[in-house]
Amino acid sequence: MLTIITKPEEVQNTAGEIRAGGTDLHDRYHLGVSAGPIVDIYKLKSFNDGELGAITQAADDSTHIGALATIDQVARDPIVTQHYAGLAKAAAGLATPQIRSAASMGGALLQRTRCWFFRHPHYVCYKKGGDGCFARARHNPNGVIFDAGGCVYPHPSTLGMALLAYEAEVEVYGQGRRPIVALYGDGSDPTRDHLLAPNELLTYVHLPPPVANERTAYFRAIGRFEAEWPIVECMVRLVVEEGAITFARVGAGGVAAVPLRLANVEAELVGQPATQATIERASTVAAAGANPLPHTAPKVDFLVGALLHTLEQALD
Amino acid sequence: MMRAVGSTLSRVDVVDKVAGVAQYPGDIDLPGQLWMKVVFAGIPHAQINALNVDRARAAPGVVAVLTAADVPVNEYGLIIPDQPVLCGPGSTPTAAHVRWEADQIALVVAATKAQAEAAAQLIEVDYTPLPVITDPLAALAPDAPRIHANLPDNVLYSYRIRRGHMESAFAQADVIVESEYRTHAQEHAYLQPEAGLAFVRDDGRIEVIIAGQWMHEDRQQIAHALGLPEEQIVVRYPAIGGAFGGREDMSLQIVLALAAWKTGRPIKTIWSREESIVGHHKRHPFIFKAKWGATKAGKVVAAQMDVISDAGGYMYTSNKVLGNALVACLGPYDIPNVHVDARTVLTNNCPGGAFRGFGGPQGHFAAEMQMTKLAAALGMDPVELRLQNVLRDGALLPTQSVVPPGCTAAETLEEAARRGGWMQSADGRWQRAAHAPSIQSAAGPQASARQTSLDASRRRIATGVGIAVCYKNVGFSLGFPEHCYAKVELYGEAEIEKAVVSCLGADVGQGAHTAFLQIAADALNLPPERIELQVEHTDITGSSGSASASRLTFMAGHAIQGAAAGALQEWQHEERPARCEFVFHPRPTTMYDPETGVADPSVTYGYCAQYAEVAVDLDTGHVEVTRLVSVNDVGKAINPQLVEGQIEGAAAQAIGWTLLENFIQKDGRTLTPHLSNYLIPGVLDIADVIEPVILEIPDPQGPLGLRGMAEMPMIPTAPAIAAAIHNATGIWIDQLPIVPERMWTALQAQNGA
Amino acid sequence: MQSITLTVNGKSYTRDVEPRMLLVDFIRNALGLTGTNIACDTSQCGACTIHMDGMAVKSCTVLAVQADGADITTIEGLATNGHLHPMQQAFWDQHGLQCGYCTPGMIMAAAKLVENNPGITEAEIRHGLEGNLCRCTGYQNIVKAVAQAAAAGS
Repeated sequence: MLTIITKPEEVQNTAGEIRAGGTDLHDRYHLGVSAGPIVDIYKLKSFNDGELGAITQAADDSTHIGALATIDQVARDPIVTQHYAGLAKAAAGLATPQIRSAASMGGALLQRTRCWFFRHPHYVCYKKGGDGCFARARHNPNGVIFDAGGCVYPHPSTLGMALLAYEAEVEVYGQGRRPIVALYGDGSDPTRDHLLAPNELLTYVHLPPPVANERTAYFRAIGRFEAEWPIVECMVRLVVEEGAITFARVGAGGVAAVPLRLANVEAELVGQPATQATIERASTVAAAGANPLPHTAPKVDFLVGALLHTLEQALD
Repeated sequence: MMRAVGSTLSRVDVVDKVAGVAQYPGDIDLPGQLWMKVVFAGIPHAQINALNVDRARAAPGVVAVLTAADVPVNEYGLIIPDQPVLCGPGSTPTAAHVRWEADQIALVVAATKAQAEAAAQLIEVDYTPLPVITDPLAALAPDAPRIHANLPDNVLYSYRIRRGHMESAFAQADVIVESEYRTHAQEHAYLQPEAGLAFVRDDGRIEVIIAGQWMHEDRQQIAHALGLPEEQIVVRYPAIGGAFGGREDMSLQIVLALAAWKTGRPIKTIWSREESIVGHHKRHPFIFKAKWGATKAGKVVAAQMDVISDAGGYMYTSNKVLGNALVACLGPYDIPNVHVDARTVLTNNCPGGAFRGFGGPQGHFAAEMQMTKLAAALGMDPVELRLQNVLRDGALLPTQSVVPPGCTAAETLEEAARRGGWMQSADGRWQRAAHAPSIQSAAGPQASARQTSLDASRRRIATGVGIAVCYKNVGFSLGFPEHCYAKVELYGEAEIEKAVVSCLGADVGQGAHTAFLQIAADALNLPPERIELQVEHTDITGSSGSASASRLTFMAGHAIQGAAAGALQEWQHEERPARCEFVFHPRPTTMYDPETGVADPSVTYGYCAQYAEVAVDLDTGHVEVTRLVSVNDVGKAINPQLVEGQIEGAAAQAIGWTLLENFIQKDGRTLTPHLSNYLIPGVLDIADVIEPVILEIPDPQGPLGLRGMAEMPMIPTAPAIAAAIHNATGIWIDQLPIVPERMWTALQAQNGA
Repeated sequence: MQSITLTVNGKSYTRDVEPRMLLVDFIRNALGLTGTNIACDTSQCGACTIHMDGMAVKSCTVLAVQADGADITTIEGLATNGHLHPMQQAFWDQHGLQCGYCTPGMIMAAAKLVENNPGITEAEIRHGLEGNLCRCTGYQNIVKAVAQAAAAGS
């Protein structure tokens, strides 16, 4: 069963999993992980003069990204590349060219976990109505290093992580805006990848007005040169005035069940001189509180190294 | 006239392939065809008590559901028929025993794919699960459950070599190196997943259209399982989307034929990528325990090896791969005292089978690591040590037969060494200015242009160089009655207007048919455009043997030359058309003596040496190959462009196997059944680093002097990379794959030590 | 069933399709254009790459109903008036293929890449083809082929 809706309100009366770009949902269907009805929203792209597929700047310089804008649009859009360069870099770094052309902003935020066990038909884990995490006891080199006790596979959304560092808000149809952190929660519920209900429709991402003179960097650490879910990834925004760091936002992905913002690292940076010593010290703070799994110990070092690299790029 | 051999003649299939009109099996439809869903057991070890297919049979669109009871002779296998075509009750005593998660238990035939898949869900299986054995060492325990009840234990096959006297040899040795090496499974990941069709022809015979590697062997196995004479079966190969050994064993051949035979309707099926990865064999994982000794002067005097491979649930080609590894694990060296025990062991893992190199990459990883370690222990240059021990014409193989003439292990190694910066000094010794492992900053000019990598900090990058050499048998070995048919027909009156050349060697992508054409053109002294190839199906001529073992151009080249000469003779005798069918038989080989391993195992060998440069990120353990020189003696390059393609493709697969590809099973289940988690190299992973080098030193046995060459560049890569890693870091990595986690853990241990 | 009308290789088609049918299955099964290959099912490999409204997309991620009204080019439609597209010619000249199964998707991705960036560099070629896998060639000749076609077009 597939229903194509043409107005956002129809989602509330139509049962099924929402399909936008389809790159994740199709995969899950193929694997037998999803089997129910589909609500296809691709036609909403033209709704309201195409706002849901567009990227627009408001009078107050804040920016709205329609949930049906593609990743490729986000990566190339002049507003994003000029004012939110880190987000553009993150969008350009994920998946592959053809996938970036098809996948949507909203889908990138609401995709399901890429855990091998979740996507294997034999294993019924927390996220499929079971009561355990198979990756915890079996094979987990891709797992988290901040273990909340439930699902040990890291959240897959690069853009969710990037938007945390941009303090973005998301809008759900009929409900107004909420900070992006409220889309994911703290990761303590192993059954969820995000906190939206099935018939709640994400419509926009709102970015606050750009910060003047910010320097940004995004880095994705993978074991291959392309097209792989990140082992760890980092997003950094810094403002340096008269040799001192006056503003810092730091995100990290691939390390926890939800995208993380590293407030402790930010605190270590702000007010300090923009030097190698500062960023090296701040990078090590990223590992504070890490409780890796037996196979994920290397990722603690990777996070520290990747963050340092990202900070170096931002200062460069 | 321009000679065709040696030219870069375009592939015969290139226009169809760039235009998108080449037909692979899945592209073909037949009128009235039904769709077949193959149902896997989905459980790695169990007894099937009952199989209820009543609901599936009653489902919409379903025409037939076939089970074990429907298979006339419910057994098959390339070497021995130890695998049921379909597992389940109502058949042979052993058929109800599931030994692998992808054992096939039922065939659902329906009007549409969706109907077949829906009906497959309705099959009810009553299983008694059995203990799952996934560790070959555990499978060797005396009380381990037996995978095949008719065998006394889980050792499926074993070989041994006994040459010389180990105790006195080790006593002579000034240094002894002992290590354990482990190599891992590899998925072929040919881009075209298994697909095929079968139908009953108007002449009453069954035709199977499929992508395989050996039409006549497919035909034989289909006929055996269906209890029909071979003449009752026709096998046809359209375009084949890659093989690499992965299509050597049966996947869909028999079950397609069975379904067509039972229903009388054309049958089609295409496997998904997941079905392909779960449902066909892999490169065997191996464990080697090695103890080698050498004198201060640089003579390797003793090599003792204990070899175990994981066969999975069935034979496939496990004994043949083991037979190759038995010799490969000693490298291309003349070692006077040798003691090898090799066993292939049954487990409930995915079966091991043929994959480019066929035991060579695994065996040479152990052998060449031992040589690199011995050189380090002796303080000798690794090239010099190898050259002092390498097989040369006249030397004895470990099997105590003389190496076939034309042995060029030394020549390939010397060329690779020269290109890697080694020089021969006045006293004849080879050396390279010691590579001081350097640590570079990311910002420096050495930093990779590739931004997206695990080289997170790029603060401390260590670089190193390594070298390795190999040999690999050409053709079927160990007494197999190796042969190849070809047929030539010449048409015209005064002059030859057209030649029809028939040879059924499979073109799996390597370009075999183009090479056939080039060899035929020169043998007939005709321009290639006047030659028509007939290569499609088993009615055309006799068996060409498999597109494997680096044998096809070698064997078919002889056969085509023979048929051409015969047809030209007929032409002289005024026969019109002039015809000749020719069977080439290379010199015979012999099986290993069961006690000593004495044998003349192989027709001939091909040789390859590789030089690798790597960059190791000391903070993350990420290893990048920055240069790989592959020197191959191919005897005569029939088509240099195709030969280079084989070298580059093999080296890319070898880099993938060494650093990236990680086929993972847990509890007998495949956890990496997709290209999203079984990672094969992409275009950025193999950035412009492979330098193919072709040597042309004739093989006295080869047609036009050519040597088999397609597997060899897969073989020395892993030990060359591992040697370079040691050169960079001082760390020996004895287990593959060298993924960042493994390298990082080793670097941590080094820091802690 | 839903009715869709779309243009494929310059020809208009109207067909009834199952709402969940993928565009790649429509192209292969409903239109019989089997040059567009399926190799992975999980949108990794790029073998099914086509051009849809001027973009190179993996047709395994698009529903047929989504292509209603679209203008589509497949590998069979790339040649014009019996002349191979320069990218097809370049794959021929440079031996940019072996088994050929990835080739249609590779050519479609590469043709769009060069069209969008005529002065493309080797690094850009490699980044642009990261969504297409080949198991046979080691990619060396594929990159050479794309560079040849780019040079021919400029």
